[in-house]
Parts: sequence; structure tokens; C-alpha cells
Amino acid sequence: MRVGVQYRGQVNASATERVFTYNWPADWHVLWYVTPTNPRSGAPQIDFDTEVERASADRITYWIMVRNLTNQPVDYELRYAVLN
Amino acid sequence: MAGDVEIHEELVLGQAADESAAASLASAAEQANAHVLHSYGPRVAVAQLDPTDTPVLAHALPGDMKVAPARITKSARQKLSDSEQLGLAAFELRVSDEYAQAKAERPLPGAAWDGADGASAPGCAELATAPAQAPTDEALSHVGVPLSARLSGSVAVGLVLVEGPTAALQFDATDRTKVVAETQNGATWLGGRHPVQPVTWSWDIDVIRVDASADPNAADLEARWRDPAMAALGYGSGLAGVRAYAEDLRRQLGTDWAYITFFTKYPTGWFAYASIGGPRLVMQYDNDGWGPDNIDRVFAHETGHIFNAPDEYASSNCSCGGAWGYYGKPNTNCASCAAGGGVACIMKANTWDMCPSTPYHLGFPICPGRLGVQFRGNVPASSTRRWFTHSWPADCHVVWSVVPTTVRAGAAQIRWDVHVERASTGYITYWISVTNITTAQCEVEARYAVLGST
Repeated sequence: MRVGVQYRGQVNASATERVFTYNWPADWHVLWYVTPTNPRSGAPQIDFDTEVERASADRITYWIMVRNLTNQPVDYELRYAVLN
Repeated sequence: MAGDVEIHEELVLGQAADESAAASLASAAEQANAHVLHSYGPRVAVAQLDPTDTPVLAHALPGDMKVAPARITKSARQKLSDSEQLGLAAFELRVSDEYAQAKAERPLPGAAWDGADGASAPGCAELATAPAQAPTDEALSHVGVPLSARLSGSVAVGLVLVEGPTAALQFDATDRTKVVAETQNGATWLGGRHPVQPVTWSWDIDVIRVDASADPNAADLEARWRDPAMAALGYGSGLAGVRAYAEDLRRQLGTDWAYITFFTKYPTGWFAYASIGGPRLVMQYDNDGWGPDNIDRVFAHETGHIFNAPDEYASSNCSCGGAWGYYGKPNTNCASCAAGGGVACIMKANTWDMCPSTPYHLGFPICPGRLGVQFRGNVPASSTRRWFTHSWPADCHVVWSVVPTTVRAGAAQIRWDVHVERASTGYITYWISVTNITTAQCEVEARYAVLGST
């Protein structure tokens, strides 16, 4: 198993951003998750969801939606784990 | 309980001095979920275990080994080597009421290492000084393999008590036992911070008497007593000789890492100092105003330097930047610049605490993979409940899942979603919403998987 950060970005206040990452081998078991990087204590800042596209027989594209739950811009990083 | 480090330790005493003893002990310890913390030779060890597993360890040990022996005969003591006798005496001191009282009353608890009430700071300046280059002929066989890259696995410690020709420069039996007990206590605490498996310390103890007189004006205070001591052990002068000794110990004792600890009553530049990355640590027995009852914590602090952790107290002139230790992380708990002066930490003050940055510097595994259940609860019919769980290290990759524990076959029962809050620079709070999509109450458990760290 290995983990990493695929992308760092910013999502505007109360907005949703969708990012995609492509060419992932279809036989890799990949999990995606998002974490804010600028501290703001007291309430959740980020919601995220993952959608998946089988781009070819052996490649997958992941579409990750990042939703800012606050009224200020939030910096975030998109993390992954390849489980196999 | 031995000492004041909140770790349950038991003495393991053997009779055979052959090399198979260590393997037999390790095998028995594994069966009993125990771990060997200290080895002073084939016949004396200290193991960490749950008290309820002591009978299991006793059963698993070979017939000539005993755990927590009720009594130790004079004959058995006399068969032990000098190192083994000191290791045994040290453990007996650590479990005594006298030792517990000394720890309860240790001087200057919590005080920053900057110094207070007549206690000075240890030798920070030494830390900025790279060890001297080994002579070319020795360097060829002594380069490339670090002696103390990270604090993990097993560590050989050459403990050398250097005495001089006068009574004031000598250690009596009580002093010697105290040194070994204090280093044992400090090593148990420090190695016990490892998040996966406590460190195993293999000790080789020598008491060396040299002829040099004490000269506080000597140009090189350390070399005056260190070089004759190393010569008595058969090694060359300078830090190259110390490094060669540490490497020999690592090879002989089969450990991952090694360093040399000198205790002396000779004048030294500072009462305690060490070189970042090894190979040596030096301490005065009187331990300045901190006193012998704080040798354990100063030893743990200086051993932190051996394993590449920087000072965090203000008078060390630390800064919050830099790239320190195994992971090359900055010194974010430096008292001069951390918010509120930083948090309690062995690298900052006289305390049994470790700040979040020191495990990185020491090279502990960060976010070792593990699975678990964080909480259990229930969600009423057709409703949503939200929980939060805080203080997850930000570098850890954590994923969440929720499963029902109420059995109801035929259709999905719950849906869940995770929201994330960066509560501070170093920590994350997860908010987990669980929706019950059935018409009956549902019990759930929230599970986590720590996958590693970035």
C-alpha cells in the first residue's frame, strides 16, 4: 500500500469544485479523500465525493467533488491511497 | 512498577551465559506478548509486559530462566558479569520505595532546560559542532552507515564510567548503581514512546579508571579523560575511536544502532551534552543543579540528540525552521517561536512529555497502519445523526466507514458521509453523518483505517 497527495487547490466560499485525475490503472484499488490545509476550528470545512469513469479497458479516471462548507475560501489537498 | 515511567517491567534472570539465551528469551516474550526492553548480558534482562501475562511468560521461558524471581541467591549473583550485576542492582533500585520517593520529589519538575535555581542548561553549543572527521585510515571502514539514524528496533549503549585517581573523581557502588538505574529509567521512557514496538536497549557497561588529574583549564576537557579511557578499551583517540567502539558494539550485540554514553566526575564543558547523530553522549554524575535524580530525563534528552532531535528550549537559540531528523522536519516546538512557547516536551523541559514534532525527529513511524472502531451509537428511524472525532494527526491518511450492527436483512439500512475540519496546523477533526434509511432504529459502528502518512 502507498499513500500520497495528488493535488492541492483552493475552493471558494460555499462553492463546489470538481477535479479529475486520469490514467489510473484499473487494477489498482484506489481510495480518495480530501482534507483542508488551512486551520479553522469549530466546524467542518470540507465535504467531498468521488465519481468514477472507466476511460478504457485498463484505465480509470476519478472525478472528485470538493464542497466548501464555510463562507471563506478553503485550501485543501486531495489525497489517495493505493491499497494493493 | 519500576521507576516513574508508567510502564510495567519485570526482571528476567537466567543462569546460562551462552548465546542462545537471547533467542530463547525473545521467543518466550513473543508468546507472552512481552517485549525485552533491556539486556545487560545473557543472564539479566528487563521485559515489558501486562502484569496478567507474567504467568504466561514464566511458562514460556526455558527452565533456567525466571521472570520476577522471588529471591536471588548470593551464588546466582556471583555468577553474573559486572554489567549483569549492575543491571540487576539498577532494576532492584528502580522498584524500591526509596527510588519512588526520589522520583516523586525530583528537583525542578517541569522546568525548562534553560536553567533555574542554580541549574544550568546542558551543552547546546556542542550540538552545532559536527563530529570531527575520522583519520583517513580509520574512515575507510567507518563511513556510510549511520550509527543512530532513527530510534527504533534495538540500540547498543556502551556505558562507560570514567574515574580518576582521587576519591573525588571516583564512583562508589551506590553511584554506579544510580547511574545504571537512571539510564535504565530514561531509556524505558524514551523507547516506550515508539508507537509500534518499544526499543530494546542492549547495555555494555565498563568502569574505567585513568591516571589523568582533573584540570578545569585543560584545552580539551573531554579528551583529557576520554582518550585514556578509550585506550584502556583498546580504541584510538578522538571521536573516531568512540565511533569505532560504537560500531564494534553494534556488531557484537547485533543491534540496529549504537552509541557511547560517558559518565564522569572530571570537569567537562557542560554538565551534559551529545553530538547530533552520535556517536557519544557525556554526562556529569552530579548533573549540575538538576541533581542525580534527574539523570534519567537528561539522559533521555541527550539520547534524543543522538537520534537527531534538536533542542527546543529558548536559550539553545533554537528556531522553528530547519530540517531535522529522519524525516527532515522543522523544529516547530521551539520555545522561542512556537505559539505560547510550545508544549511540554523532553527536548524542552524536565518532563516526561513528548511534543508532536519530536517523534518525527526521532524517526518514529508516523501513522503506522491500523484498523479500529472509533465509536458506536444508534440512529433513530428515518433520521440523521452526526458525530465528530478530533485530534487526528494531519499527516495521517485516515479513511472512514460505517456499518450497521443491527441485523435487518433485505435492504440497505444506512448511508454515511464524512466532513473534514482542519482544527489546527497539526490536527484534523472528522465529522461523520450517519443517515438511517429504514423505519426502525439502527445501531452503528464507525470504523477507521489509518493508511500511512504523506
